[in-house]
Amino acid sequence: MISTHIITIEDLVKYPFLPEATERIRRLNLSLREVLSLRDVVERAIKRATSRNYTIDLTDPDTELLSFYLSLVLAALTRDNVAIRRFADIESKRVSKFLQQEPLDKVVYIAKKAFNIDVKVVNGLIQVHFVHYLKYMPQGDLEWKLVNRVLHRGFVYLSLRELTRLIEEAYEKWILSKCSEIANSMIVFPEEITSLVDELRSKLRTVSSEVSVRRRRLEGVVDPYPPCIRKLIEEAKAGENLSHIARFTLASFLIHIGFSVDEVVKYFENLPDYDEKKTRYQVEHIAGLRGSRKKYLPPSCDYLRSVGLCPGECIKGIHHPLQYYRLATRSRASEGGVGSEQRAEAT
Amino acid sequence: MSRELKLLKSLFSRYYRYAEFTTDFPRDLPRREIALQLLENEAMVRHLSFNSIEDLRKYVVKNVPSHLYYSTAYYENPGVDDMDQKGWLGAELVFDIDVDHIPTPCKEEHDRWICENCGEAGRGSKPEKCPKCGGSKFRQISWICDKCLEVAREEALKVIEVLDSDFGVSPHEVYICFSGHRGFHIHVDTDVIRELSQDARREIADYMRLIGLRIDKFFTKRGKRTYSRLMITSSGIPGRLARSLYEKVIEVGTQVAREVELVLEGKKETISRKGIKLIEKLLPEVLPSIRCEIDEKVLIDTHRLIRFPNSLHGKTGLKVTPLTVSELERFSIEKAIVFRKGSLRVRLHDAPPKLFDMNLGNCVGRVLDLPMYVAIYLICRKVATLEE
Repeated sequence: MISTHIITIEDLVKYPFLPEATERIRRLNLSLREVLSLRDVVERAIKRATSRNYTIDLTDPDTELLSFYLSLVLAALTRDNVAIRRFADIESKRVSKFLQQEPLDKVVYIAKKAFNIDVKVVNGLIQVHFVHYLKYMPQGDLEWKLVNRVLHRGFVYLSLRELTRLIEEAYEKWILSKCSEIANSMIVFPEEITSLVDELRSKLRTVSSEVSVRRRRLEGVVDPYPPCIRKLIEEAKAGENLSHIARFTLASFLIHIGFSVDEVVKYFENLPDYDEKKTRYQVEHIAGLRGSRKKYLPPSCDYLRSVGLCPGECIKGIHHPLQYYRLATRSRASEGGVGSEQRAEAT
Repeated sequence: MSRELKLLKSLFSRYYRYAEFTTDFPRDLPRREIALQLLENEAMVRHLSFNSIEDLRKYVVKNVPSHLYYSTAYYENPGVDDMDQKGWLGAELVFDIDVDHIPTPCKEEHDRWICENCGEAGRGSKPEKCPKCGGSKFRQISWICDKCLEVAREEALKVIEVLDSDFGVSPHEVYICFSGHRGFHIHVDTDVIRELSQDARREIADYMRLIGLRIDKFFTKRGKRTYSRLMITSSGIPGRLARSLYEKVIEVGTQVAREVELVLEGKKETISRKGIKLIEKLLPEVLPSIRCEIDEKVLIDTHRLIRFPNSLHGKTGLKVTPLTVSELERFSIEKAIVFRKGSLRVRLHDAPPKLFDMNLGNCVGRVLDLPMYVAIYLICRKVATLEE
């Protein structure tokens, strides 16, 4: 039963995360073992999870829906964050394409029903409650920063395109959380699923990621450190009195790319107020070995820009120092040889 | 224990016996971590939890704190000392306005700094580096001052206004406190707010402080024309910007200024490149009036400890005073005074030129009979000792 005239059976196939779709699957009352015996479902599950060009068969809703839920389970069981993220990316981009064809009322319905987004349309203008906006906004884009939006009595004004983007992000988060739910559940999965999980993992690992375009632009960059970090390292070496946030940025960056606490502490040796014990204590905090046990991420480019630590020499599309590092090391790794020698260069 | 400490301990303890602790602020006391610094030895005691206000009261009457805090966070097990085991359930959003972070002209008159490395001293807020030795550690001596509090109060009112008009949080939904020293705390504790992540809170902090603001985002290019969303009738930041810019633009008086005037009034939709240039030029002048000077660290932190309403501030002897918006509007330090009765004879070792309407500038080194709260303030600041 479809609860509203807005949503058709085709829509359930396009948007399998809708509660109506989950309900439909539940009514089929199939065990996972039974689903695994449906060849068509299994084939499509692998295909849809790994291909950006997969065409959904709108005429066979139950097979499609089952294949989606099977792909979700398989992806979750890979317990491989890279694979799961790629799966979530492929899925959410597909949904985004569908959403872009939809009329306003359907998009609003989906936002509300599937993700509890508080969205309203007043005089044709779309408004989303700031709490949900902040929860799902894409990170590292000045366009989306709350300070650059019109905020009125708790609601942010959005275009229809932006609302679909918000749903895309919400869907991606939904997949990630479902995957961790499944992976952490106590359910005993049938033996025969293992080979499918392995197959999906290896296929997802080879799917080209969206970042490859940006990566290509970074090819040939000698140093994998972003300009801001390079500058901080130079300043630390020169014994300049770095600000608190500068120290935090440098330490958290180095910790995140795999430096040990000892190695990081060495970077601060030349600082005017260097105190080995204190520095170690603070670096351990950042590394998540003390206090809240939280491993701190270095601040985003946005933030670094706002505190004047961004030299502004990056290529376009970089929004986090770690993103730069990852792209640079990946592009170098594909040319052969990065890693330890790079680290030696920086010390 | 010194005589001064004994006196403070007995006064504070007596105060806590009848202190006005309420169940609605902070809400859900059993879910909060309580922390305090003991008056006696300045030891910090953390991870306390109390099921009722009476339990808390009994504790603080016996273990007298110089500072009493509660966690802005709600926890499953607030009394557990391992942060991972506490079970974070959500946290209030707290806007901390502290005049320490706001430059005020009067600081030159009443504040001083001393370099901990070489002993160099100067007036006003501490510099980034000591001009003599280049050191970066200072002892800051700052005093309570009506003018400073006035600035902090204005900032607090600005925050409340933005919360209402932009975030839809009405003044009835916020709890306001005078911090007991040099600022105000504004607490928002609604269900939707509690779950905000640190990233979300950082966005709110940036919004308040206008970090990452890009004026060009309020101009839309369509073909060769550029449309402006900066109108005095607009909501949110573009509206506030437009209203402040408008006041500046009418003083300029050029032809471009006239065009910008019309755009800001909403009588002209498109804006010329020269018009945008003028706006960009005037922008730095108007930003300070729109920016809210809040401490972003406090706002972003989801595990923060904050002063308990109606507790005493151990550096001043003043009360952390809950206020309504209208009480904030006409706030004076008088409202936070606790120890009104009697007087004390003290020797003054240091003092600001003016304190609670008393001129003390020429009294340093002398023995004086001072009203109780003035003497207590100076004793708390460790610049006065009891005399027979």
